[in-house]
Amino acid sequence: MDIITRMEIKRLLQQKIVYFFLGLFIFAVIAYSGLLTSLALRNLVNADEKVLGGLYFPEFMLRFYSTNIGALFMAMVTALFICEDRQTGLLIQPLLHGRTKKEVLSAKMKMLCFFSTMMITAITIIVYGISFLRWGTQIFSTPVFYQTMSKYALVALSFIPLELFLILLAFHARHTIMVLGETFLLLIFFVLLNQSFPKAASLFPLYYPYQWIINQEFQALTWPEIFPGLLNFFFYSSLFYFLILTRSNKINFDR
Amino acid sequence: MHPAIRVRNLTKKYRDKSVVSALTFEIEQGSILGVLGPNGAGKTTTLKMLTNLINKTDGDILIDGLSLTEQPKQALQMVGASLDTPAFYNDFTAIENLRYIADLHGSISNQKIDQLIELVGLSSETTKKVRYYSLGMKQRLALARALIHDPKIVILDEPANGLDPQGMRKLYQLIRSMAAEKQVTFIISSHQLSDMEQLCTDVLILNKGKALIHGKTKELIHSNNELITLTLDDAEKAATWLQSSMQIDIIEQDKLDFTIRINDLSFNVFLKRLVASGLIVHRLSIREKRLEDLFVELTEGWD
Repeated sequence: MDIITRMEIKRLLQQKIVYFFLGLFIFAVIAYSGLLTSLALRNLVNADEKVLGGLYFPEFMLRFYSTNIGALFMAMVTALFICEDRQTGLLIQPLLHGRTKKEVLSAKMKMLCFFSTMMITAITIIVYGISFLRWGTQIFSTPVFYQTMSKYALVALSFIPLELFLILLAFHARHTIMVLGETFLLLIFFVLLNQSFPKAASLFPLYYPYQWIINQEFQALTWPEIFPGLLNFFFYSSLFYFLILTRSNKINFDR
Repeated sequence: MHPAIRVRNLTKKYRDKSVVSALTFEIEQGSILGVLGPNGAGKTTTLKMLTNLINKTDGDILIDGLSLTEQPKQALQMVGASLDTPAFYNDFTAIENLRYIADLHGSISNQKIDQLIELVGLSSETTKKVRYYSLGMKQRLALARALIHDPKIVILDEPANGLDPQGMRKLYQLIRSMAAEKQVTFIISSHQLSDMEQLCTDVLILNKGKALIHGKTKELIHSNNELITLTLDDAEKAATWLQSSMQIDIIEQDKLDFTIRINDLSFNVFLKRLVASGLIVHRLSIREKRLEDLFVELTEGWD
């Protein structure tokens, strides 16, 4: 791993916002696993048993990160590492010491894609850890366990094209607030598109996590359902990756 | 011996608007060049083109004989720079920040980092995160960072910002000694005109993207006549009288205070005419021209 990527990862591990977010997520998982599954609340919310706990609980919790919340959180971290770095003048430092824009962009991409995967891993560990304390070994029962794990893995993959898109957006939008605002508007637009024209929505990577985690929740996915999504992720990831690198000289690093 | 930096016809346009136009200058090794100009004169844009942070529209930049366009990596290896407000990784210490930059260059020892920290007077602050540094301390650390790879040319944008008078004096001493002893060439942009006059061997004054004057500081200051400062009792009448004479240039006017220069006219004759004009003179003094006067004359005051 090159020195710029190592430095970026080192900085990432010092970001309080990451720990704050994970802390909130732990709180949410404990709240759902403890409070909502109590007998009194079970009757009150009159919810499906699958939603409320046991074997299906880890998959239920995935919906809280896989789409909008995860996208907005990643938009915030991406903007922090690109827009804020540009504003403070940090983005140009490697350039003043002989490194190219391509090297800096490449390090940002590696770090943020690594981070998006690490976040899913951390969330998997949190959800399974708390579920294990609450329900014991039953949460590892097959085939639901494998089904859930494959969905976690698919969500991790879905974040790669999203993250690369956010990097591209952050390099063109000058301020953090613009990146967050544009991501928010994009998510609303996508929800509307998905509701009105699902076929058109299926052309975009965001469609697949919605489909797998929300529309097909608690259902096993078949290969023909997974394959178009993976193809879509690969296409968009490659597109954004090459778009960022080929436009590297035109991307403004200056504040 | 070729110059440290040679700039020919350097131009930067944003759409059709020229920010820097046809700038041409060169600097000898071991010189200290002050780049001066009012806000928006193109100083920072010029410095950013010299460090390849922004692309030039036209022109050539040769650093120690190497073209910045054709051999950017090798040319920039000879340049150390600190531009804009100094930026650091705030959650790291000074040493950690310098270690990172040192690693970007390759084989730079920890001993070298310690020496630089000591050189800029931050030895007692090494365990503190940069977040808790004052602007002056960050400026000093930025200088250490710019010097980390022993560059032949150091470019500093407003290096005295945030420094107290003692800090400024130390910084200028350091720059002078490095230029004299190690033949390091400095390019400094600053608004501290009196300091620049003392520090810089050369000056380049820019306005609206164009070079108004470039040369040795001392030669430029002494090439023109002395200035006369006057305090007169009637500003309107005084201005009319001063303007009516072709041999008098009004350099500056502040209410009743005038700074003028007389051309092709002896001081005695001027004095006789002044008395004959009936204007009441409260104060009159002759002073040597300073860099600030030259600057004001050329740029017609701050924007």
